[in-house]
Amino acid sequence: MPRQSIAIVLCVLAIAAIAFYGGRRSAPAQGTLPQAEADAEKAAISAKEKKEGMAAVVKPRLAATASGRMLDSAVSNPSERAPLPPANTQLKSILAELKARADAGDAEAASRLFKDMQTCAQMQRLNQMLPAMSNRVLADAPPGAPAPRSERMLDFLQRNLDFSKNNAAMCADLGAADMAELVPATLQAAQLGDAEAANCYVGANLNNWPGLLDNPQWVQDYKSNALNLANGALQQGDWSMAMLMAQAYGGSSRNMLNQLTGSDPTQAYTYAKLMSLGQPTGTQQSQRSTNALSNFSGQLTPDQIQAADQQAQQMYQQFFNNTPRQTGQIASANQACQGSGPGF
Amino acid sequence: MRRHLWVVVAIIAALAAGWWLGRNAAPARSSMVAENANADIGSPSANARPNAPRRAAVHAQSELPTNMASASKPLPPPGTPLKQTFEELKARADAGDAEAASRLFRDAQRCRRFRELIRRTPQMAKRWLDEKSDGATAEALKITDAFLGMAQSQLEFLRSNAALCSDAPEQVDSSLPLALLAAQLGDSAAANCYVGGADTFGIPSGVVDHPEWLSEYKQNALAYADATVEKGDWTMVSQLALAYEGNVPSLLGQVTGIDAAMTYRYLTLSRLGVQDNSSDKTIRYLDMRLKTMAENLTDEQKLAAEDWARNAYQSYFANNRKNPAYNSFTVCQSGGP
Repeated sequence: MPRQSIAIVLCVLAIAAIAFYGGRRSAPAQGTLPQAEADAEKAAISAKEKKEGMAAVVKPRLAATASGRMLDSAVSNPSERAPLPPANTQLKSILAELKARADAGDAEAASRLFKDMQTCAQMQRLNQMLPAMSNRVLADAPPGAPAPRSERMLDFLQRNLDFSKNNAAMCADLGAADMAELVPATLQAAQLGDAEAANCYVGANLNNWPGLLDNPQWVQDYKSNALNLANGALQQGDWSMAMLMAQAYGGSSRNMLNQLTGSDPTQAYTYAKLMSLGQPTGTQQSQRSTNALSNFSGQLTPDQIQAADQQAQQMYQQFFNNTPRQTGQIASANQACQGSGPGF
Repeated sequence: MRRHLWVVVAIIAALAAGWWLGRNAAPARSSMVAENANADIGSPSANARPNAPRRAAVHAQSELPTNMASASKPLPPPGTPLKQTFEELKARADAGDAEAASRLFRDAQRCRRFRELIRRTPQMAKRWLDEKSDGATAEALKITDAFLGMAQSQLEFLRSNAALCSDAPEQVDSSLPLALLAAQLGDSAAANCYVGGADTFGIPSGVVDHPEWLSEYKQNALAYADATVEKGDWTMVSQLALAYEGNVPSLLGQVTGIDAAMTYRYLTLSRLGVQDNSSDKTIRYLDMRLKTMAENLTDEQKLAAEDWARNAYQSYFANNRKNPAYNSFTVCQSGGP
C-alpha cells in the first residue's frame, strides 16, 4: 500500500477516534422526551422507549389514550346532546356555545369549533394575501396573452376568492380575542379524538398561532400534549402523523415537534421505513423514503438497522394494517390547518 | 474532482461516525430541560393585543450592560474551540463586552450549522457520489453535479470548522438569547437574527423549554428593529415591511400586527434604495407591492408615509444608499453553505 494511502487511513482513524470522544461528550441526556423530567411515569416510558424501541412503548400509551376516550364518551353521549347549530351559522354568534360544549367533552362541538375557526383563520390569511397575489398574476399575464402557468394561477386565485366569499358571513365580526381561541380549540378537538386537529396541532408552525406572544403558556401546553397526541394518532394508523414523526426525528420539520423528539437517526430511519412499508413501489414517495433510508442508515450499525426494521414492521402490522396504503400525497399539517379552504 | 471529494467524504464520514458512535456510547446524564418549567410567563389576559401596530416598550436602557469593548482584553484567537471559550465569552458578554457577545453569537451560529450538516451531509454526499452516470441524461448529470458541488462546499465547511465546533456546548442551540445578548450590545446582524426568530423558519430553537423567551421577544423585538433601521440596515427594513404586510407568518408579525400604512412606509423606504429599472422583475414586484398597499390608504396616509420614508432615507441611510435586501435577504447566517 502506498505511503500516502496509509497516511490517509491513519488520519481517518485518528479523526474517528477524536470524534468518538467528542460525540460521547456531547451526547444528549438519555431519555430525551421532554416530558420525562416533569412526570415520573413518562420518564419511565422514555427510558423504556430507548431500551425496547417505539413499538413496545406504544402499548401503555394506547391504554392511557383509550381510558381518556372512555371518560370523554361518558361525559358526552352524542344521543343526549342538542344538535349542532346549522352549518355556516355565523361563528361569532355560536362560539361561546361551542366552546362550552367542547369544554364539557362534546367531541362534535369541539371538532366543529376547530374546523370553523381554522376556516376563518384561513379566510383572514387569504383576504390579506389575495390582493397582492391578484395584482401580481394580472401584471404577469395581461389580457390577451394567457400562458398556461398564469391560467393555473388565475384558476387558483378564483378558487380562493370563492372560498373567501362563501365564508365571509360565517366569519364576520371575529376579532383578535376571538381568533385567540384558535390554538386552544385545536388542542381540545385533538384531545377529543379529531385526527385532523391532532395533525394540525402537532405539526403547527407557531408563527401561525394568533395571540401566541400574549399566551406563551401555549408552548408549555404543546410540550405537555404533542407527543401523546402523536402517539395516539399513530396507533390509529395515521400516515400524516407518521410523516410528521419522520420529519421531526430527521431534523427537517418546519414546526416545534423536533424540539420534543430531538434529531435521532435511528428513529428517523424507523419512521422512514414505516412510511416505505405503506407506499407502493416505484412511486415518487417511495423513492423519497428510499433516499431517507439511505441517508440515515449510514449513521447506524447493522444491528441498529435490523432493530429499526423490526420496529417499523411491528408498528406497521400493529397499527397500520387496516389503513389504506399511501396512494397519493399525504395531507400535511399545513393542509390540516386550513379548515375547508382550497389550500395552496 | 471526484477522487478529492471521496477523500474529503471519508474524513468527514469518519468524523460523523465517531461522533454518533460516541453519542450512543455516552453514559446517561440528567436531563437539562426542566429548569424553566415554572417560569413566570405573565398574565395573558392583561396583555391582550388588538390587531394594530403598537410599539413595544423599549428595553429598559438601565438594564442593558455597558458596552465595554474598548476596555476589554483581546478575544481568543479565531477558531479556538468553542467548548474552551464559551464560558469566558458568555461571562464577558454578560458583563457588557460587545466584541465578546458578537464573537459568541457568530461562533454559536457557525456551530449550530456544523451540527446540522454533520448529521446529514456525509451520507448525502456518498449517495450522490454513488449515483450512476452511465446513460444519464444531460439534465440528470447537471442536477448530480449541482448536488455534488453543494456537498463539497458543505464538507469543506465541516472540515474547516471541526476544531471550532467539536464538542461545542449544548447552549449553542439557544440561539435566541445569544442573539439578544449581542443585539443588546449593538450588533446589527444579531439584531436581525433575533428579530427574525433566530432559527430556521423563524421558530426559535429551544423555545419549547423556554416560553418566557416569547414574552421577552414581545418586549424587545420592535425596539431592536427600530434601532437597527436607524443604523441604516436594509435587511431590517425588509423584515419590517414583510411583518406589517402580514403575508408571511412570523414572530415579528405577531408583534407588529398587519398594517397597510406601516407596510407602505417601509416599502417606500426600501424603494428609495433601489435604482429605477422597470425591466427588472424583482423591482416590478416591489412596485406592485407598493401599489397594492396604496390601494388601502388615503392620500393623507400615503403622504405621511412617504415623508417618513424620505426623512429616514436622508437621516439613516446617508452612508448606505443602495438597498441590497429589497428582494431577498438572509438572517442568522452561519458563514457557511
